[in-house]
Amino acid sequence: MEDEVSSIENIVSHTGDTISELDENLNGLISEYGMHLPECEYNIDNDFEQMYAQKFELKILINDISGLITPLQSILGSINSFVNNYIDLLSERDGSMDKFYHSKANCEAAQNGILGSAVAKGLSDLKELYDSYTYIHTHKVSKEEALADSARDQKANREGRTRGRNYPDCDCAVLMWDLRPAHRKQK
Amino acid sequence: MKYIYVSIIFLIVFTFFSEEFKQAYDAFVNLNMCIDTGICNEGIKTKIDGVLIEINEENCKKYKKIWNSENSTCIIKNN
Repeated sequence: MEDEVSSIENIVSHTGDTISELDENLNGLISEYGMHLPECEYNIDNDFEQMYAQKFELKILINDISGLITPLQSILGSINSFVNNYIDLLSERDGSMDKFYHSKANCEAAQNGILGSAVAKGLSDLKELYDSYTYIHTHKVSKEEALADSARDQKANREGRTRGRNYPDCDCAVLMWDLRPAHRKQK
Repeated sequence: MKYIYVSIIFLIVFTFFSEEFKQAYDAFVNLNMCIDTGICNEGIKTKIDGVLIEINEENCKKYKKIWNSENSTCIIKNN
């Protein structure tokens, strides 16, 4: 079992080198992208786009495999993302940042791969369940309002997970920037 | 040895059912509800349009938000 895990780790490492090589080739070709007519023999647009898309798919796959090889790290990393973002949200005391932190937490967890994404979904569902029950139980929020708020939060959560999976190397604070309110978008 | 376990369990139960813990938990729930739904209880300190204020009827109306006198809550979010 350990040999198999080692062998997978070697493949992941080797693929990482391949991705770096692919990156170098793409950087070398980028100056030619969009510079030639479609019928021109020097047109590399289609090939360039294909290589670019394959590079991203490979990155996502490697990220997923890395996450599955170290499951405890992925799970704890995802939980850590949720806790940190929740603490940041509570300390800011700004409800308009709610969707931003919801999506950022899910984004960071999803960047741990497919396992991180699954943990993020589970934690998000649990939180929404707890929130809905608590708000209705206090009788200060109607059932319709609680469900509507939960739906809005889950939309932000899904968006965060999607972007985190697709862009595992990007800063989630930047990826989810559009979910900040207008008065918090100024730098 | 079993007395130590009984003491620990008693301490945990006492903590969870103590008045201080209930108050702290209620405060947490109210703050969470305020940030999550925008329905804030009177007395909570939160930001409206980037400004930290204490929720009460006067401030709620001052910032043109909806005040619910039945629940003493202010709806600060436009969802």
